[in-house]
Amino acid sequence: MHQVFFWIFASVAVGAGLLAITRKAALHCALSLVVSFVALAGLYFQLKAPFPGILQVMLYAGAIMVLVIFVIMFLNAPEEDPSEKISKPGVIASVFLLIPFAALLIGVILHSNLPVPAAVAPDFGTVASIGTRLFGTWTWVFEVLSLLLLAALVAAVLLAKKRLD
Amino acid sequence: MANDPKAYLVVSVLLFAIGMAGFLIRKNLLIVFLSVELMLNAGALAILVFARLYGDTDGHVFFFLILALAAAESAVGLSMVIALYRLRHKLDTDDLVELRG
Amino acid sequence: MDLIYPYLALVVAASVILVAKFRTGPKGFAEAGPIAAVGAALAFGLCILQWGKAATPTTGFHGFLLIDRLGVLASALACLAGAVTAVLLPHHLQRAGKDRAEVYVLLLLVIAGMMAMVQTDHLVGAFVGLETLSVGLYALSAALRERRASVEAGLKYFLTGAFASGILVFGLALVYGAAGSFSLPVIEAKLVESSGLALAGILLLLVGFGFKLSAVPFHMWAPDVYEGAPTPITGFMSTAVKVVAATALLRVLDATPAFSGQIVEAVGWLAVLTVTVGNLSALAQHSVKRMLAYSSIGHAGYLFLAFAAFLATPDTAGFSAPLAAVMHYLIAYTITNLGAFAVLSALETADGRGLTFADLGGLKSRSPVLAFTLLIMMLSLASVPLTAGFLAKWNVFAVLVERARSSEGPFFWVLLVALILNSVIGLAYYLRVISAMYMRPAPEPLPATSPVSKVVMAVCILLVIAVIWLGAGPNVLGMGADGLFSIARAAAG
Repeated sequence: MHQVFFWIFASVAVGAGLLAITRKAALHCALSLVVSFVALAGLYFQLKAPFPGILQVMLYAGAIMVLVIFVIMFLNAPEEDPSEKISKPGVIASVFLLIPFAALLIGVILHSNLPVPAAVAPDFGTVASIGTRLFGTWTWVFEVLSLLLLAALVAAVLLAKKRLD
Repeated sequence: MANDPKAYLVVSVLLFAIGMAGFLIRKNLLIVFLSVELMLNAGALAILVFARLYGDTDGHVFFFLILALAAAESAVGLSMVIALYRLRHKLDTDDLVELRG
Repeated sequence: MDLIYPYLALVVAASVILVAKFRTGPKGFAEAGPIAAVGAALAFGLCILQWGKAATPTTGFHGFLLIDRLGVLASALACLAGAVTAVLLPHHLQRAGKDRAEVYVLLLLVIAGMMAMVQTDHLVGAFVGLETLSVGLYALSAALRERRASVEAGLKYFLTGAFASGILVFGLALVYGAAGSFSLPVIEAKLVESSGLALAGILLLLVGFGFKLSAVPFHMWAPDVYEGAPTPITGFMSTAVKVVAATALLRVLDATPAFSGQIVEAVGWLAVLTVTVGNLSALAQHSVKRMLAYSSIGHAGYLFLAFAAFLATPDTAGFSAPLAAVMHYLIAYTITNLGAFAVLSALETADGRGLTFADLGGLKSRSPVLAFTLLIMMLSLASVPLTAGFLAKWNVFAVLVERARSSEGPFFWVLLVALILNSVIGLAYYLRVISAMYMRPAPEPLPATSPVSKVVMAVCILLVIAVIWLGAGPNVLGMGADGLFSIARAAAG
């Protein structure tokens, strides 16, 4: 059963990911990406990470992508569709550099000695365990993250506010 | 974990490569940005696989941080796209020609 | 608690500006610049105060915050660059008719992110710091958002920066997969033998940092971003970002000695490419700012040369000469490049048109102080003796010679030849600036520059004094070159 779900989620994630970079219209790309992200959330559940899975659906596929789609709808200029153009050097680089790179990386992974999956605590991947870790030992990182979010807030004001002095 | 962890990692490498290809091939700014999001997700998947392998919650916390980072980046990136659109009414990397590269 | 005083100074200053800006509303808030400058200078002072205690590294926040001399030195340089930038910015923004308090808030948060990036030996801690500084700098590059050049610079920086972040995350994932932890000491203990997974991860991290340090071939964004961003911000990016990214990269590479043998060649060829492409491209530029952008790529190359020597040196406990050479180079380069960009920012015209070599004509009589400052900074960048840049490059040269003699094969001799040839090329274009200022007549009509404030002049003079003092040898005031090198050495020890 797990096998079946893995293959469904994995092929949907990769297939929708491919659609996301090949569709012409930006909106279609964004929607394909949402599908890919939801399939990834399925994989997260299989990896015993329910809380990351929920966050993936709610925040990534939900909040962040909705913001992106909103901007796409807001800006889409109907008179011309620049998204039809592709970069030739990019295609050449992808074929000659990226495919060998990906093949090499997959080879490295297939030949690596990964540890046997450890037995995990019953609360592994739950809100409680992640929250305890984040606000326990990881406090410092959380504090720096708050600076990051403040910087992003101020940056958005600086760049997008209607009238600046 | 029902499957070989390597299968999950291969999925993550494929997504990473797809994201990079999108970054290199596409010219629409928003799609280029979406490709980067795909790369971030590929990294997140790999981290969750390893977190499961080691039974280590640190990986999950890092996932949370990647999520916050993606939100911050999209806020800044999209407001910059809006700022450019106000000036130019076009969203094409070919139009970034004011500075000769 | 006393570990985070520098952070508190920065964050409090940022909050004061934010709140005051809300209260004044749309009128603008002219005091933002001075408050930011004071905040950054205070943080600089607090970092210096930590120097003595940092001789024995202390940790806080469950081991996530690490106060050691390497981190304190890099933080102090970032604060110094930030303080100088906050002094230069008001002049620049007001000339463009903008007075944006948000810019200073972002600047202070960026400095705090930089400090967080270097004051940790946890990969995720460093990564979140890196993202804080990146997000802030994307917006700062686009701060003059009425100008297309500025917005384009911001977008280009954002897209390449986000791409680099994606690569870094994947690299972190692979290193985590190989070692089972994000903590550098644990990684060092676990990765005793080479594994493909870890090597792939470290190489991806190297690529990600290569983007941030604008190493060739990951430099495509740098000239455009440096040219389009507001000039003081360019000065800040080309100095502080390089300092903290190089320091963090040193920490990562230092924790993976099992891979040094494999990585040293990658870093070496990266270095040769970077110095050569940076310096050759700088030769062909008409805009002074763009020339300095390529020159900063070239200097990143010199740093990578020292990195290669660092990696090839067997790991001994305590002092490492190549590490000291890297830090020495960073100190000298930061002070010098800040001075050069201070002059550039003061000379620019209100329309934001880039300064060409012709615009510099007759500067010696128009503004002797600025001309002399630029003269000294160019000499230091070209590493002419009696300047800070000379001693710094001399150290890189010395560690490369040492490596070349003790290692087999011609690899380090190749690096040495690249260093020497590129220093000669560098001399050519730095002298071009000097000859434009001192030999050529003033352009007709004179570019409409606005008067330069006394504070900016004072900063220029201070930086000139620092460059000469740090370069003039041990006999000046009892602490010149020796003093600087001993600081770098203490940080490396």
